Amino acid sequence: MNKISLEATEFSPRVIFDHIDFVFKIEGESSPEDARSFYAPLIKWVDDFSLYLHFLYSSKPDTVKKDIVFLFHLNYVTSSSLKNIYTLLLKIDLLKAYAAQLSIKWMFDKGDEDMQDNGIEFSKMVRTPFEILSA
Amino acid sequence: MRRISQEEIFLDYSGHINFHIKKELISALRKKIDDYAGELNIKRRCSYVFEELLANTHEYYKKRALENETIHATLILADKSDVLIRISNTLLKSDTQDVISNFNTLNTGKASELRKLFQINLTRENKATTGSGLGLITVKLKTGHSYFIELTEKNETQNIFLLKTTIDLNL
Repeated sequence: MNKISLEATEFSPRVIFDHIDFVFKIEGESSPEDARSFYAPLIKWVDDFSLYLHFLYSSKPDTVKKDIVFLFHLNYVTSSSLKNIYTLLLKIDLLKAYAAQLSIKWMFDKGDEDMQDNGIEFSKMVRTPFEILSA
Repeated sequence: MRRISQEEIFLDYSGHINFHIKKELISALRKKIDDYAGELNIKRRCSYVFEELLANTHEYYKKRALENETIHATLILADKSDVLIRISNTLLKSDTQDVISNFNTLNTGKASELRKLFQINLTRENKATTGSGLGLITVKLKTGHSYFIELTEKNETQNIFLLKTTIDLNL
């Protein structure tokens, strides 16, 4: 599988999903015209990553599982993005079986209570442990 | 009634709405609001609320093939402490009862009920069957203010729908 590396644009966040270096982050503004089209490949990637890890650990059972941490540091999110981020978080939940520890780091800019609130709401709706942190 | 002076109008737009126009309006608002002291959260909230209300209208126009219709959007700084947002758009008479019902739900719902509605909206697949969009729910939760709505007859099949809400600047 290939990694995802997207530069931030005016309306979409920077995304790194790297299954080799185990770096997973989404940063910046998320207000694209078509949030579903933007997030669909990311959601699929997590599905593919889950399959990748399944075959890796099945074929090499001595492989030590690593921690998987998804970092979200968004400064502006439209409601259509929120919906797709939630779908992404549900996919991330499914990685639990293939991680030593699976967690979400939800970072918000200092003073951005609304983004903090978004993290709190999401943390109640998914199984993956959330760490909600001010940047 | 207090007279609103020209200097206190942040933004006044009449015309069509699409993604690019929406983004230009948001950009104009952000530049304007940067001139005012205040918390980062409040500045971002102004952009967010305005964008969600514009998106709500835009989505409605797309759904009903009304893209040739126009909107009127105004943001006013009142008493240097609140931002009043007004958006008016065309609303089909056949949709009016549902729209009024949705806004009544938003206005009368307690915060805990709206959070539940937020979760339901977040998880549903089909948007068409379940009332208020996610954006209108989150705007109500973030502003804490009820929506004010007003209808004026435009013609046999259409009304003009005016929506107002307020953001406290906490200055």
